[in-house]
Amino acid sequence: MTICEQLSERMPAVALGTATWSAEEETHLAGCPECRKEWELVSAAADLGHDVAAGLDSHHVTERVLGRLRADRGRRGRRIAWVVGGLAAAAAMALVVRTGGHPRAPATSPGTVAEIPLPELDSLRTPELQAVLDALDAPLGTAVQGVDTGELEDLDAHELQHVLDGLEG
Amino acid sequence: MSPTPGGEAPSDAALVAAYRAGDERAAAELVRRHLGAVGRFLYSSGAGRSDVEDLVQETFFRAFRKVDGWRGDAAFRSWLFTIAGNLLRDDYRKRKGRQVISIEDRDLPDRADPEADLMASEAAQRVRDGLTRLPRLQREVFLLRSQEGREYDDIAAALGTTPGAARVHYHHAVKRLKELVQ
Repeated sequence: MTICEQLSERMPAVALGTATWSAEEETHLAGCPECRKEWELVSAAADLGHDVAAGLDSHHVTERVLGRLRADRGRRGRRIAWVVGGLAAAAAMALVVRTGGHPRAPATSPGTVAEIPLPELDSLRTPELQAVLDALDAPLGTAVQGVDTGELEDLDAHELQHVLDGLEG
Repeated sequence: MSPTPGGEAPSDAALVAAYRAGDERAAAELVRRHLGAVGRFLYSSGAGRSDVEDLVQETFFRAFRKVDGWRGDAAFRSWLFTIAGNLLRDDYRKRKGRQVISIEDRDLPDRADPEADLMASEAAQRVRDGLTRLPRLQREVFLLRSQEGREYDDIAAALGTTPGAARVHYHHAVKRLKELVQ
């Protein structure tokens, strides 16, 4: 490291008063125009803005900064509440859309029978009701007792309509 | 925030931890400690004398708002300087409207109060004029060295560069300032 580089490294510390020049360094500084120019720059920069800094009011700055931080925290809290509220509303809407707007039937506890009003069944006699229940319990495609659906496959559209008219009375 | 058991003032790291835990007095102490240095840095970087207080407030507001961003690898004051530097750049862009500026933020305008500046010494004013014409990294490295006496390791950590690059920036800043401040 040359003496110029050595001085350059130490200039900030000397300018800030945390170090001093040695006799050798002072001699070099007096005779080296480049080092002197650099020293003038560094020492001027070290002193720059002291008057501006002295005019700053620490208490005033602190109060304003803390006031803004409190307001910011309040704003952020309200924003989070809005987001949570919005998400809850969106979830409720999604539930309504999914269920088609109809509330679910209340769940029945084990051992209780759900009552489903079907006035059409009231006119049936016991054997007919039993046939209907058997058909509900039977696998899909099984015929209702007393009706041979195999025969229906041979009928054309006109004959089928005639059978249906007969069933509906 | 009380002094340490040994009677020493609490470190910046201890004050930051106390503030994170909700102690506003710790924030007040951090402002008191670093207010002047941040103000000098902003003024030396080209902020107008009448704008310095507002910019200092904004610097501390941003710092406390994002205090988790300070990981302690650079000194708290050096970290504050990087926030102040970003703020000055944003402020400059706002004033320039949407005009695109150089990535190195060259030629920050001198917005100092002319009357007040007359009171400053001619040499100091020339140095300040020169500083405003340096690329941002050169200016910030030079100010962290000359006003704060920071080592290159700390400067590098604060500015997101390497100690070697920080040293090069410093020497380029000196060379350029020698040319500008004749």
